[in-house]
Amino acid sequence: MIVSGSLELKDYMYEMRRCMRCASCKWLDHIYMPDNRFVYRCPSYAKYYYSKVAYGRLKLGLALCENRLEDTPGMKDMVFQCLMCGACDSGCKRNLDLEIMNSLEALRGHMVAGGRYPEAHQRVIDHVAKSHNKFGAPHKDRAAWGPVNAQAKSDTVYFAGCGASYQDKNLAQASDKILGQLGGYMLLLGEQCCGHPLFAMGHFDAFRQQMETNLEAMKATGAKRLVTACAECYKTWKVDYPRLMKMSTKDLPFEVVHITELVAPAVASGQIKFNGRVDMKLAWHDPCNLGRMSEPYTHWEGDRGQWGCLEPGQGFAAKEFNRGTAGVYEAPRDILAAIPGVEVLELKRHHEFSWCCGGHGGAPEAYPELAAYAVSERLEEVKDAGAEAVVSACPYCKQQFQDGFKDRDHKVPVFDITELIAQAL
Amino acid sequence: MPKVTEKVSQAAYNALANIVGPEWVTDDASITESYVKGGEIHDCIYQRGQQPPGVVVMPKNTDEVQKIVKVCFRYHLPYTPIGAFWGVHCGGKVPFHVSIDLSRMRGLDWDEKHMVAIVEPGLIHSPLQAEAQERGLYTMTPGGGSQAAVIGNMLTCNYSPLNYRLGLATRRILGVEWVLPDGEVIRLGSLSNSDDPYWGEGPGPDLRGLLRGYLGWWGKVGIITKMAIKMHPLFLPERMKPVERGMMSTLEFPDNRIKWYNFRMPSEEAMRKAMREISRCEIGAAVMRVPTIWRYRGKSVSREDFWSKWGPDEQKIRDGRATSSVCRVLLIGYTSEAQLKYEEEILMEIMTELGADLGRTKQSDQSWIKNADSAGMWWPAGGYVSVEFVVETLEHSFARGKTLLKEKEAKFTPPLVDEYGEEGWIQMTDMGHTSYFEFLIQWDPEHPLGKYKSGEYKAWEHWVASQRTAIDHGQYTANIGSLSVMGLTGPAFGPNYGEIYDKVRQAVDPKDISNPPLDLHDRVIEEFAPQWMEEYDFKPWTELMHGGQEWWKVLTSRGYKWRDVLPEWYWDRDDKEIG
Amino acid sequence: MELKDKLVGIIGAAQVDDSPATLAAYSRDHSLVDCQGLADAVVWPDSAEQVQKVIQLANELKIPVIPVSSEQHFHGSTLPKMGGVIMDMRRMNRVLDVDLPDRLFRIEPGLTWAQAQAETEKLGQRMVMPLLPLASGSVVASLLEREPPTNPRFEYGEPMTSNEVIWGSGMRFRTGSASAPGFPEKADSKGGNPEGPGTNWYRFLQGAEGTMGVVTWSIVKFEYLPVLDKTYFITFDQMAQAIEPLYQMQRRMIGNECFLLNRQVGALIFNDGQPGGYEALKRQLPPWFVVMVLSGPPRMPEKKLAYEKAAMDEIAASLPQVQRIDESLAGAPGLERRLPGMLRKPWPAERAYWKHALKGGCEDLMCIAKMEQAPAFTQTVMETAGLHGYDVNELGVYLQPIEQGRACHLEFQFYYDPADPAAKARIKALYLDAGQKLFKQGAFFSRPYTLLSPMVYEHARGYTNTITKVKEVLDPNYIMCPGNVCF
Repeated sequence: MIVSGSLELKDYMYEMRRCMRCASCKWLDHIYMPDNRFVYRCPSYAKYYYSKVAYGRLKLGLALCENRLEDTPGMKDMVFQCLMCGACDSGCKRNLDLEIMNSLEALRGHMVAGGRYPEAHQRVIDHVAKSHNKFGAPHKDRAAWGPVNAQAKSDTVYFAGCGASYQDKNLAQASDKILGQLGGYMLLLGEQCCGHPLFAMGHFDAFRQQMETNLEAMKATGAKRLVTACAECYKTWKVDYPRLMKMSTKDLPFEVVHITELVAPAVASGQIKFNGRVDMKLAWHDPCNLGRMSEPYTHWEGDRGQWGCLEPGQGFAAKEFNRGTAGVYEAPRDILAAIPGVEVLELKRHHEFSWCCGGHGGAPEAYPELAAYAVSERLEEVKDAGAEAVVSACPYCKQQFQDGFKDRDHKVPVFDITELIAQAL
Repeated sequence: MPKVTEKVSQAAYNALANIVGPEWVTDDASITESYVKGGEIHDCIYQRGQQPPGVVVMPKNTDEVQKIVKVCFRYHLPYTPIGAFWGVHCGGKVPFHVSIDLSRMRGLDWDEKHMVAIVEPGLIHSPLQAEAQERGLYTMTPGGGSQAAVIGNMLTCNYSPLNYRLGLATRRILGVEWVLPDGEVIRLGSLSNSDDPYWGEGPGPDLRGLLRGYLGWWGKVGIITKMAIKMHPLFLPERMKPVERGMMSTLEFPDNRIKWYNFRMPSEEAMRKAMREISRCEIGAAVMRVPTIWRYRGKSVSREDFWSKWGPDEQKIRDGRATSSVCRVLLIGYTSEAQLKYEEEILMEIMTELGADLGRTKQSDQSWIKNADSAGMWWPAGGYVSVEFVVETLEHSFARGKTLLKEKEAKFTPPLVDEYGEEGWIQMTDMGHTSYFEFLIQWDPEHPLGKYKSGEYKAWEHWVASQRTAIDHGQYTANIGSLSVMGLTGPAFGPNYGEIYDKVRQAVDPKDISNPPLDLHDRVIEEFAPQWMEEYDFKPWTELMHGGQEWWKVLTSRGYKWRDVLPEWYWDRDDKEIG
Repeated sequence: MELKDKLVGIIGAAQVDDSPATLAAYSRDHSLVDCQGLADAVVWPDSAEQVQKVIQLANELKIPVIPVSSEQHFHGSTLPKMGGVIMDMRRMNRVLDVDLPDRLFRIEPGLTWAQAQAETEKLGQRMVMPLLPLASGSVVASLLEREPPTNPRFEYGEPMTSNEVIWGSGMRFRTGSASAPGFPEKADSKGGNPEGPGTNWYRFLQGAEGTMGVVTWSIVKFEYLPVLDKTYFITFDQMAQAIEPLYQMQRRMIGNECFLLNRQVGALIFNDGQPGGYEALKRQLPPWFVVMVLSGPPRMPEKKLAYEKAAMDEIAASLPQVQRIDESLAGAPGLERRLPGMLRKPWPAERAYWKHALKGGCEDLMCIAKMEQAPAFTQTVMETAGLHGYDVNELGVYLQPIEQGRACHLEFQFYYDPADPAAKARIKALYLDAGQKLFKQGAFFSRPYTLLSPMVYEHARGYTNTITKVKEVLDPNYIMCPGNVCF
């Protein structure tokens, strides 16, 4: 019996065995390969080489499942020196169609269950447990960013997330302004960390606890829609929560949307009009968790039959194929293009091939050199594109870019898309 | 549980670390474990025998490679060079070997005017092609795909439909920098007397003859650290644009310089005539007959999608042989738009005379320049191997196809995937002087009913049997050299090519350290399917060839058998089924 | 038993000769190499078995074997530098099989260009050949020595595919796909693939000057005979002006035969053979000219010529150094019609060979170069020629673009009277001096014959060591052509 989205490593034996090391998880898609400078999709490999990429980790996972390998001094790094950005998965789906992201997540879970994970991650786990945010800041300050347009009751819940609540309050304030124009919103009473870092780090039990708390709070609102401007929160609510509950995204009792998905149609219909002019060439950075990682999750259960076919009973069509292309890609581009004066530039690695900013997967906490490397590579692309500013839709991307520019001669402003929208309103 | 790998001695390890720095050498099993191929390797006896290395080392330049090889030579350490780790022989086959991972050496330099790309071993095809197009050049992307290392592929295979006009790879190999197994660096062609690698042969007898044969040595004669490659003038005024994303993404053809045509031919005879006449008129960029299964594979979006159509269409395919009668032609206006129009006119005239019908096809890059990816061949069933992929003449292609199909259907189907009478892929090469033939087999490596084992066993046997039939019919085969059962092919071809082949190897690699052993398949068969020696009439290579095989002496002196050097789990699951 | 008796035992008395006159004849050629020694005997084998037996005997006796397959020799490679047995292959001059559909034929090494051309013409086909070779020259030897064809269109593939060879060790072996068991009678293989088995043995035979073994047959390609040809000429005052047009035309894959000649070579080749014809033509020819032959295959040939000519015109219009594209060559009326046929045949046997017509002797200094290097290389050779008292107006220059203009074969011809020892010595000094200068300038000597070989192989030490390792497998007793290459 196969359960889609399982968190058990042994359930991915097929994927791990069938990986034939074609390295589609490592190289950028050949159709979109721009040159010999930006050739990789996997920051982990590009930084560390060896086999620190999905194929290597799958081989390791197989050896662990088959009890062929005991702990080694380098095993922890092998597993956790990874941004969990999912770039590998969209590569594999083009060629071998294996569930390698699921396998990597399960591998982390397997390592965590054996007590083998970076110490720095424990601090994040502890922060979330104690303060309900990843920074360890006081929980009471969560809404200190000052909601202006929040209502007591609304069909729409705004989930600010840890980043906008504590790290970059501008973003929450911008979202507040935007949502105010779109008919208002209510806050989630007792909002806690969505659990994204816990899931990415492989601490599924702790994650489940966060999920249950947040879902309970959401249920209490009776709202029909949850909106967030954080890509990580978006992915967690849209994909991971239903996945753990063994249900499909479409079957959630509420809709999960990213703020750009609300703004884009409103711009198209004229409900939102941009008056301010921004004369700039903007490079749009696709956050991993808004794009390839946030395709609607489809739950299914079945068996693997002859030729490796999945046989859920209704034939192949019952399996939803997540290939990274059905994430949120066009909404932010459409919004930016609608701002007078803006020219949107594509970076060389874009859409599902987007290069991770480095701010995810527990890397900034445990492997800051990987996080720094990833963003510096992305900033090289920004420079290469001739952009005058770089825009994303995730507080952690923004933070990464700001940090990344600190030691560089070439500097351009960094924006979250909500800031630009709010500015142009 | 037995230890899968042994440690390389501390002294050797330290020597390696001193060369590349401690960051670029490791013996951590969580990393070394993944330096084996997967997919077909783990589950097909055909490629059985891969070993995780004892140490992985990642040099950054020729100087470091040379020093590493000298350390290996000094300590008698077998090593395996790795480019992109695409080819099935990329993995090492003896325990505690040193994996020399060349991925950090990804350099690419150009002499645009003379159409030369100078590449390092870590570079793969897609960035080469991308940068070439910026410079008004292109090369073919081989069947192995865009992720195959350029040097690795040039040294081993490098076949594509474009061989029709671009010829065999060996003629496209220019100046070469080569670290021999004793650590000596030699330079071939114009590099032998200057730093300019634009010319490949000489001086005098052409040492490129030692680089490879029809196929290559898979790292058995040292490491190429730099290779200049002949590129070709691009006929497109602008770069092709990507369309769509995901698995169906491709590069759209402009309508004025390059075009595909699919013709349904009324008979096999008409197919032959078309292929010949196209060549006679010196038109075309590629001419081929593509097996139906490739078309189903190309159109499907998943394994399940594939089987939902392939299975039910059996009768349709058997009856009509509809799509296998398709002659697929690519025309290119190399000189101008007018050339494309001219060639199209001739093509239509030929096909009209032969009573062929023009069908539909997409006008986009399909396995010619950037969009080549054979990884998808593992998709339909999980296990795949090309039993044959040989260049000979057109009639030879048809004959080899019939021979292999007959054998496959009689003895190996099931468990191999039934292709409903297909006789393989045929394409014209060398402007019609020769023809390329490929015969693929697929199987399910892990069917829950136990076909898992019998599938790989039969695939392996089919591959061995294919060598026997080549010998019996006087057919040429790709399965020669280290990619063959040496005991079978060694005496038969040439005749006795095996003898001088092995001697040349020993002369270049006296300590037998460069990706040994030569006769992997003989070793494995001897131990696990000895009955085949009688059935397919051969003696193991060790009995035929005395001397050399240094590495085996080392192993056997330590009491090794294959059973011992391979992980226990590996044999446990297969022993019951084999023999 | 003496060597001769043993040879007679193998090959028959009629096919063994050790008379002084014969031995003396085989110790001379058209090159500048002085051969002090004499061969011990000359043999004319008629079969691979005989070749193999002679080689086996030579291994027993540790004496050299020098195969020759042409009537005349130019490079000193066939001289018995250390004595031994001259193995004259000219009796083995048969066409063994013709594979018309695949455009391949299996020929013996003694088959001449004249024979090959006649055979293929009967089939409605043609040989792709170097610039006007001797009619009596061996096709196999020419291809093994990598003489460049005048028609770069077919250079994507190997001109020869499989071979049968008797290695210096005495082993009889088939290279390429002819290695298939049962070949040729009982095999599906037609010998069309040059590569393998195992490694590319044929490459060791190329440029080897007979040092690896003796080829007893080769499978060689021929091509379809075009049904329509049209010749064009582009003239230039200076060599440098011709380079960019050649780059562009080759890169656009225009035409079939295409090369650049200077007036000296042009006058030698294109004169009508009448007294004074050479001198008259030399006065009238432009200093430099490109020959371009456009050819049409069987269907719609005119259309092919039209699009290729249009592309040529396009290039010409974009380059100021191309004044015009001529349909005839000044001073050589009617040449445009005869030229395609001329280039697909060897030099007429009834006329003195064009290289020798002027003074009786000619030494070629040839290298591989990039076309853009050619003017500077030519300047070097002219200056050197001047220093050695050679009349630069009598320097022949032939530039053959290779592989879509990626590189070229550059050939300088020094004409001299071989009967005049002083003249020969002067030319030898000039040849060595110019060769060394070109080498330093970056010229690549892909086949450095006897005089230049020490310089080239000494420099390429690693290459030399490794090719020696191969040699030791294939010819362990070094009996094949000692003194050639680096052996």
